[in-house]
Amino acid sequence: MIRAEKLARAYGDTQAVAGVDLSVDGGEIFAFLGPNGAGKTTTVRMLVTLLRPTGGSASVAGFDVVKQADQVRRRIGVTLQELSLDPTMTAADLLRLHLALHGLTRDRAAAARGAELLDEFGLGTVVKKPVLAYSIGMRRRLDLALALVHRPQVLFLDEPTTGLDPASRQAIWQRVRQLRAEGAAVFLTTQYIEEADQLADRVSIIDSGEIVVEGSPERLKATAGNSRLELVTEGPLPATLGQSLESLALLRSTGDGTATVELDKDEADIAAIIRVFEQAGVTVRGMQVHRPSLEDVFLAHTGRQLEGTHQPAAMKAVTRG
Amino acid sequence: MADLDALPALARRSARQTLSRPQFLAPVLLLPTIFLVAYSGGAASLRHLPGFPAGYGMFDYQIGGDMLLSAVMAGVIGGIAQIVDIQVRFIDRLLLSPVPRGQLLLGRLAGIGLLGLLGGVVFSVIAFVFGARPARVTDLLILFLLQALTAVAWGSITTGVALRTGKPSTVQTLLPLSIVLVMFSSAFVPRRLLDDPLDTIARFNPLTYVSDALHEPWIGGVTTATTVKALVALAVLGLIGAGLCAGSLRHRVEG
Amino acid sequence: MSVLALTRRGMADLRTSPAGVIPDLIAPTFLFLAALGIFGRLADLNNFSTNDFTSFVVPFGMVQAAGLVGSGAGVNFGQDIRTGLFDRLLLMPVRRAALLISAGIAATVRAAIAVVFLLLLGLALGARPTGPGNLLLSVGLAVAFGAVAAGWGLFVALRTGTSAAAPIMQAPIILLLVLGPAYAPRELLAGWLQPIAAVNPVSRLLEAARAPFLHGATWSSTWPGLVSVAAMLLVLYAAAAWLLSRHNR
Repeated sequence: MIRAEKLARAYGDTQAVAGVDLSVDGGEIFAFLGPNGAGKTTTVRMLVTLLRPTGGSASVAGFDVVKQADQVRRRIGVTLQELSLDPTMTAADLLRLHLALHGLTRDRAAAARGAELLDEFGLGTVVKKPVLAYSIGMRRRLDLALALVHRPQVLFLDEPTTGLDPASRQAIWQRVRQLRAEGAAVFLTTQYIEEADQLADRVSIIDSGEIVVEGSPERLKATAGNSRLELVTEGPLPATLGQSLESLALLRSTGDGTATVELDKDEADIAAIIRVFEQAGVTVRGMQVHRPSLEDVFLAHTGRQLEGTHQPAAMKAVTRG
Repeated sequence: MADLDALPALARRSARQTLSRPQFLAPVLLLPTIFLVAYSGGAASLRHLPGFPAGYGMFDYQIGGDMLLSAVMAGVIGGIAQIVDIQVRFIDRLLLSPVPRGQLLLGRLAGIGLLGLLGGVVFSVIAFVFGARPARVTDLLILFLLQALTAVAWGSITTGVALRTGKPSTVQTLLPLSIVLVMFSSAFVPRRLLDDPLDTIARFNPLTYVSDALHEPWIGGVTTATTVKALVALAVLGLIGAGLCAGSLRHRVEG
Repeated sequence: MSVLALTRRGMADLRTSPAGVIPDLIAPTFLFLAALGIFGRLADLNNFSTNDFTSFVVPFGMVQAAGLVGSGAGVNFGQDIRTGLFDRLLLMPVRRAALLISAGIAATVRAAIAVVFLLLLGLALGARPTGPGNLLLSVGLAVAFGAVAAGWGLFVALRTGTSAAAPIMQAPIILLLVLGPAYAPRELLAGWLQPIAAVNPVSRLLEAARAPFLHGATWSSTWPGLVSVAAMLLVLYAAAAWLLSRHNR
């Protein structure tokens, strides 16, 4: 449904998107994960025909985004990061205009679907109020409802849950999953790890205009290393502890009252590991299993953390996905 | 033509966008009213000078000039409304629809034309109330048409500037600039009573020819020659505007 | 002391960038030039008080500039109210009257700059006052009208609490200006306008400011203007002070 080959966009000497390859099928949720300014929105704007690429090519629903832009626009639903709503218009005004823009003025089924969507998104009681009076969550839901009215085959959601409360976020996730079940291709950009992890079938991590790695969340996390068992201990740790653990796990590090054990497989026998500690005269006071997250994947591939302050890169591994 | 399906909705939206904001209506209705009061009352004695249309009062002359000012202001407001759409990114919503770009522009301009027409109707009513009468009923229809077309032609230029620059400050400066251009035409004083350099400026100012045609219904009656000159002037302005809009839209996508 | 500090704040943009005065000058300059250009022939009329239209219209240009710039005080004030800055100022140990007076003074200074600019422009275009003392009287009256317009602008800002009310701040000031002997002496105005001009306080002010450019100021041409301007200042600032005393209470 969405194909891009070496898609690029330059502004003067600055390369905002530097040759992106991607492919998204129907019935699939694809997430573009990256920090602010990574090139996510620029890529979306090229794919939805709002910005002309300066290199490469892309097609959506089988149509070229440059040469057949109008055919593309017929088949896509889009919610943009900046909500593109006229605050003086009501939801009812926007719905009417949206129907007209998609040539559905006389399509009663489409109008009914629009009204149902607004109802379903909890906007039924405010359709006659100007958008100015809506909360951010209501605006995002209205935007998504409008994007769905004309039953698009491909959906582009540019940071659809930024600034939303958890309940609104869950509601949008639920709807996006439903769209996947109905066979739509969903292209989602996000800067939230959790969103990509929970929602996406496939994730591409983009940084500085380049895709650094791509795959299913599970596969990506598996490449980021093994799970770790972190223990809070009491009593001196004997030097032979690593040897005693050998058949079960690898003792990574020890500290003052702590020990970190790397589990080489997810089904590691944690009870057995703790028994080894106890037999060596060490009391285990607490423990925590740390599984690799997409945050670790991002860190491993870019040398930086996704959110918060940037950390100096020890080594930047660039893997093309 | 099924392709023009979205046009009425776009025009309605464009007109409502301007009509719902008092700050958009003030330049179209309030400003020309102030000029009408100021000039028809304060410079009433101008009618005693040779060169002023015999048998008419200053109010009869001013009403046409104020209609020009109102129509030009409607055009400027069109550009400001376009800037608002760019600022709130509403333009992206329109550009994401499968409606051809030309039709999106036509919808915007049709809304501006309606605003221009509103000014025409309001000032015609004011003219009637204060005793001015058009020579023929058909003159009034021609007047309304010219009024709407003036707003559309001027609006195409301001919309083009808005799309090109995306800057509110640039479009805002078009407002005083447009008032000056109206003043430096035959809008408020007949050309024969203008001295140089103002007369020369007025001669090369396309708005002078539009103003002449807007005066005629209230002063002597509509003539074909003057109306055609006005239409040519508006066509020139409209072509400049259309070129500006087309180039600006392309620029918007190509970045 | 607080008045001085607040006035300096009101003019901060001018002190950091003197070019900030240019937007103030654009509208008054063009309106003046347009009036000068398009109504110049009025002076050809036999019963016009002078055949020097430039000298006749320059004082109007000065008063108009003061009115347009002065009423802008309300725009800044309205913005301060809307953004909440005004409430913060009210929390400071500052007398409420100081807020009003400082805003009025800042606007009047801006108006004075515009008045002087219009005067220089008028002189360059050939206007001839009867003497330097007389000229000072003209300038003083025009600047005083800037303070009047500022009072109105502040009143509207306090009443509406927003800078979006700018048209309501400026339109009545312009209407007062043009519902009088702006482009021609009172006896040459339209019949319907003459009784309005007779009761319009700005007519007296304008005539007093104009006399130095025509036949020279006399006590009888000046006192009605002084009384008008004093009355307008008193009424508008008293009304604004009353609104301010009720603000947030």
